[in-house]
Amino acid sequence: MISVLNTIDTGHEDMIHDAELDYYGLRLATCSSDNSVKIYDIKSGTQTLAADLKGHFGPVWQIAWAHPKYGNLLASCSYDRKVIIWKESGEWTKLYEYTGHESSVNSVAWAPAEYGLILACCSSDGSISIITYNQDGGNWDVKKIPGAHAIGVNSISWCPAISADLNLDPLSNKEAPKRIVSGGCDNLIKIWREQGDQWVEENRLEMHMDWVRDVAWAPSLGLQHSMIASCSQDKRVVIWTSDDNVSWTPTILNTFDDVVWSVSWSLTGNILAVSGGDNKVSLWRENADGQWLCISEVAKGLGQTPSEERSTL
Amino acid sequence: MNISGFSNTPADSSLKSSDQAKTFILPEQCFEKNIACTWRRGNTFTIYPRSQIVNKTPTNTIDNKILNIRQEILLFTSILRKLVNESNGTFLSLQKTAENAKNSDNQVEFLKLSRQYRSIVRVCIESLQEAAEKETDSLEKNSLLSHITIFYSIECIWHLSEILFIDNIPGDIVLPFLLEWVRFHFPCHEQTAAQMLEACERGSEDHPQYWDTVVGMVVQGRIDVARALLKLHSSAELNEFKLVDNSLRTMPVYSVYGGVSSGEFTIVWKHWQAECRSKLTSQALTSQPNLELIMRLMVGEYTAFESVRRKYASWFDLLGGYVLFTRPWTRSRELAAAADACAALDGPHPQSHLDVIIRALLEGDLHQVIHEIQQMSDNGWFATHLTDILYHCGKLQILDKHQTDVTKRLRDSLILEYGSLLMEHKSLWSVGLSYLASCPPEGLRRAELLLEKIPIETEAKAMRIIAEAKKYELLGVVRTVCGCVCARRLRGGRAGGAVCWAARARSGPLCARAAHRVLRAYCAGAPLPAADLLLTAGPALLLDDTLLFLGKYCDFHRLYKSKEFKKAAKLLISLITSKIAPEYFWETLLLDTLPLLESEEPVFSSTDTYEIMLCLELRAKCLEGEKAELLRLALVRNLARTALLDGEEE
Repeated sequence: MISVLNTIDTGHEDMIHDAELDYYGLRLATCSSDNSVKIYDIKSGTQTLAADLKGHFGPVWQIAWAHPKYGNLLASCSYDRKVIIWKESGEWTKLYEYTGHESSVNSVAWAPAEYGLILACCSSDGSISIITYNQDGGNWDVKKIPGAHAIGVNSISWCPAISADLNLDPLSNKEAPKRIVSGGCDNLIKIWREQGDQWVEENRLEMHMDWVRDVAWAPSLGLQHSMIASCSQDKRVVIWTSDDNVSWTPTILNTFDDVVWSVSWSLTGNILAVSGGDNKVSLWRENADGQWLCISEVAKGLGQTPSEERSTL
Repeated sequence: MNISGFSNTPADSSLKSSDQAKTFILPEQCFEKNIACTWRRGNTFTIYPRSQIVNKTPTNTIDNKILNIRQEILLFTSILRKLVNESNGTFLSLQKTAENAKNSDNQVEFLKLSRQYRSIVRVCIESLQEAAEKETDSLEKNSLLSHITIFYSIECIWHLSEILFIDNIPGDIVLPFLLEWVRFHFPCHEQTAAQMLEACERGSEDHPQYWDTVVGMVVQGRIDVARALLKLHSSAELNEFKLVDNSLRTMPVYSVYGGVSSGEFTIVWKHWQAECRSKLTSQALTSQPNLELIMRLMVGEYTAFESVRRKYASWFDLLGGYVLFTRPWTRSRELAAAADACAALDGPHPQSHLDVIIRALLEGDLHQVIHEIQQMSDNGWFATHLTDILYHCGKLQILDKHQTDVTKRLRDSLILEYGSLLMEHKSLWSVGLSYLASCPPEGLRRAELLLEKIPIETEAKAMRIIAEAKKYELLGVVRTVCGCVCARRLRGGRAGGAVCWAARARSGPLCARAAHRVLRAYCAGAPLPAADLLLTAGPALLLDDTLLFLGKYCDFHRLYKSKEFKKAAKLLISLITSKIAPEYFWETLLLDTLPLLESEEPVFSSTDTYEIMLCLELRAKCLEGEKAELLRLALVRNLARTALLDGEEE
């Protein structure tokens, strides 16, 4: 059985676009079409509104928490073409505002903490920006990948620091490349690799037949095996696997009844949650034969009681 | 939602394909458009209404609720905590034993550990029973009773697995163990028998349960008890009774150590049974149908077993008796036939879950057994521990469809899931860690991911996590946790503590940040952190120049306070000349020379004084106006009194 622990009434005045839990799962940030970002403390079953961040002048699409070793930082991106990094020191204030995009910014993602304080964001202007905090200068350096995807980039995700090419452990080897995966309106998924002070396209993965809506690089368990999940308006979810981060093999997880909007991996990367226009969240896991099986679904309620339980011994 | 879905990773597709995904309907009608999910740790996640489009025409019907959803975990019930903790101890000794068993056969040890597991389950059942008796709330009581049912089944299956796969039965004659299993788990009529024997009254047949009890004892192989009960019958002196008593008394019992070969025994036993059969055919017992029934059971007549079946809850009750009176020399591998026969007594009834498992066990199909016990609602406790012990005993061999051995993978995946599950609990996480650590390399990597995400409410908690991480050499976790505490200290304005944690984290940049914070705070009038804080940092001071500077500067203060002015002055000069001081700190550093310059005894040599003068000129921006003039004056005066002195010393 599963149960609803608690319900949070967000008080957003318009649609919610993203909700993210912080590193320890103790705080929840939400963002909405009402231009605001809200933060809730959800310790011990109760929740209190900790902050209501106003700084964007358009719908806020996505938010991302930084690793707590850099303090309490939250990045948000919006239709107003801005990315804002918020910092909590007593109160929440704007730490940095990035205005380098010419159109709606659709997705933000912090790099693995091992690399330092680095944020990637992507926009409907087709480009991707990588913003790095420079500890010595106390300033932010920006590198840009122009024309990453025609018409627009919808989603980005970082490759975990400890990943398939273990012989190039980035913690001990400065040469180990950083990687990002992106999905866009050109139906493509692209993998980018840092080379010197540039980001180059390393791979393009073709499989989807409509806009790619979300991409998610799975957390690594140190097994010399990388996985990326992607979902698209073509109603399909694809799992890409690789042993070296260079050649990738696709497996279609499933074709759904409706557009699939988001894919997200559980902390240890063993369960994938898929959600879309069919009002369901389904949970998937891979068995030893490499088959993906749906283990549970959470669906929109119509006032029913939970379905009957599996009979137990 | 399917609980097993979370807790199992079956190694074989056939295990899983029969499972269907459970749909969980949210109890409220809350999301009109789309929903999405964001993960928390482990089995908790949050569901929220996610929209991809901008709402052009704002409606008033937006219901922006967010649901936190959690899988309910039986093992986190406080009453089961003991089970989790104690079985962890046994699990760890088992791993050790298995390590040692690589060199020697250690079956006896494994048996001991298996019994340990069973006694843990027994204690757990007892405490559940106790709680159920006290419970007044009917809902709670029901859930406790259902827990009891689960653990009864676990105990029963474990015991049988132990007999069949873990114990080393002499000659593999399984009967005495099987009878013991039946008696223990299906103690039908035992109490009535004991009561009657205690009362020891002739004419006990007036008891409504008398014959059922006698038959029950015969079926359970308690021949002595059955005979004693028969003696309590008021007609016990009748020939029929004597006849049956005699047959029961003379029934041969096989013992490996009895000096009789199994072949010889078979002959003797068949002879005995033929005698019994001849008594039946001679119609000697027709006047006593109950005695006749007993005799029919003794000769292993199937219809006799059929006729008593409905008096028992399940066919397991009869299994021991059936083997006893048909093939007492049955070896454990040959039990499947007996199981088939006994199960067939039921007719075409639907089989219960326990039925399926017991039959699979008797058939030796461990693959099926493990698949079935994964469906039990104990969050994988049973499947994990039983699979592990069977694996270490070398009794488990599971092939996938390509005929590759996936036994270890199955065992590992179960342990990984179980360990990860425990990691979610606020106090069982260290137990979970020990499970993960027993499955390298994936287990340790998982441990790393999960350990870093345990909320650090207090520094004591941080220390605990660090201690556990060090135990498994997860040094990355140690660094991350220290880094996080350091960041929190900095945010809380406690720079001294932050330095300490930064040093623990062995992170240069963090040390620099924390040290700068301390120095700036000192410039602004805050006191320096306690001296011992930095003394303990030791070699960590070398991680970063600013930290090193801070350490030395604190040392300077210590010397000054203990009035060792010469030494203090020497240190201060070395700090000035080394040029590692941050820009903003020069003013403080230069002004620190003032009291020393004006001490009664000169402590700066003329060379030192020149150095300070040089710095003052080079860094004119750092110190201006009146303060600079004051320092210049002091420098000149000191130079005046030391210029000659130095010459003398030379």
